[in-house]
Amino acid sequence: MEYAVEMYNVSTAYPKSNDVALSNINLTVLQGDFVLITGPNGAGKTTLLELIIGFLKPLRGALYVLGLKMPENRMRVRRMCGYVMQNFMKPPETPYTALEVVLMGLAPFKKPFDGLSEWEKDLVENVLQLLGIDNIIDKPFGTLSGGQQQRIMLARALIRRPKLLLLDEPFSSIDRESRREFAELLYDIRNSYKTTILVVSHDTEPLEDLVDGIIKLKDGHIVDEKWTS
Amino acid sequence: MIALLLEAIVASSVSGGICGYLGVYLQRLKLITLGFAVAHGALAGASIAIMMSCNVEILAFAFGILIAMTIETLHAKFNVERDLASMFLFSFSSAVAIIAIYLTPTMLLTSDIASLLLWGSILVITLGKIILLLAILAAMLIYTRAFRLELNSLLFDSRLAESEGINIEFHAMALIVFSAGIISVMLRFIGGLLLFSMIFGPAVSATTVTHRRQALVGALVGSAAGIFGVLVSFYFDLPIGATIALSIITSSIVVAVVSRLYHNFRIRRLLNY
Repeated sequence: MEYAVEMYNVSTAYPKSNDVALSNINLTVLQGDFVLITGPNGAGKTTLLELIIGFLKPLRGALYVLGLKMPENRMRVRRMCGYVMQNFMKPPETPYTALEVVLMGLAPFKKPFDGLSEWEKDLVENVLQLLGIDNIIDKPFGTLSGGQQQRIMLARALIRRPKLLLLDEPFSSIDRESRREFAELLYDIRNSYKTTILVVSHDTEPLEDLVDGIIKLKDGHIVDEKWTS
Repeated sequence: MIALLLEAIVASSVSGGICGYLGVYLQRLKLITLGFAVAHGALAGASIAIMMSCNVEILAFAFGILIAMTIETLHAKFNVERDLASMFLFSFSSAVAIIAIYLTPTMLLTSDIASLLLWGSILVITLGKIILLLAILAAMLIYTRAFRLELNSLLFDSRLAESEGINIEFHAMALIVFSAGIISVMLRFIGGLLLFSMIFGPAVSATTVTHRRQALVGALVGSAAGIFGVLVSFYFDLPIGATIALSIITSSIVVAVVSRLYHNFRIRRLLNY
């Protein structure tokens, strides 16, 4: 079995900061795993995702993502990942429709002047149907609700057919009742696409019984790890 | 005289269009101060070229690129904010330009050389420069068309685009090269201090008029205001660079006000029905 993420004694800090954001992290996540990363504010949850995607460099230790050493291979790794950022809300005057925003996810894979191929059109259609957003796709992105924008961003990540999907506080703009539904959707996505999913959330309730592992962070350290298998 | 007027109209129309088009991209990618620093780098290069009797456009272009690369290095290696690095190098470029103008061995007064670079002159327009501007415009249109999806992704959210594997440095550098090219060709026509009005004035109009197709609106406003500026300059015998700059600023204000009034009018009509 191959690893999606391997961290060996990894420590990191933000540029110009005197504090260590993550310290001596040892973590391995198998490909296809569905993992919840939780902890209080300032624990280092988002920092962990930023480290994986290559926004931060390990100051100490070794980090491999999808078998590639980071940060040297960050451009290759980024193309194999989908990243849904925290608090991603755009104002009403955003000059793109929801469909245009989804299609932007394919940008790094396109050659100059390339249009959409037939199978890409089918893929987009399937993803939109899966997420139940095919009816809002022509609307201006900025006029959509927080939950709808969240789903559009998830669709954008999914059409990239990522090997590793990173979601940062995906429930923050979704009402309490819809959170479980969204969590089950992520579970289905993992099962359908065999994608490794790492979810950062301080709200553990919707995901607790669906994930393969729960990592708890506090003050930049892993303080607890639970794996179902 | 008519030939000179026609050349000036074509040159101002093309340069207004291309600057308006570029300005919208620079503004939306938050590269405004970078463009500002590149322009002053080009001004320093042009001043040195006059002092050393070299080709003004080539040295202006080279200095513009050099300043942009220095800013990027300061940003990438030393974590200095781009805006801060731009302002830091803006002062450096201005100082170099002033010293080079002061040291220029010429019969002209220092103030005459300075005014040529700072305020521009219609006499420097040639058919070759118009063709060069058209070539840059064509290259920029091809570039924005070829990388439309990547550029849209960057304009939508550059951090997200970066996380998806888009090479931000490549696109930032491409826009800087275009900026340096345009600025170095137009420097002596419009003048180093007035170029910004051509680049950023139409961007103001575009942002007030529409959320979509802003680059096109910027290009159209820049082009129309450029032509109007030349005509006013000829009619009233005013300095061409300053007149074009005033024309663009006035047009931008007029477009913004008319757009606002039209918007209010439409909202009132909708509410009444």
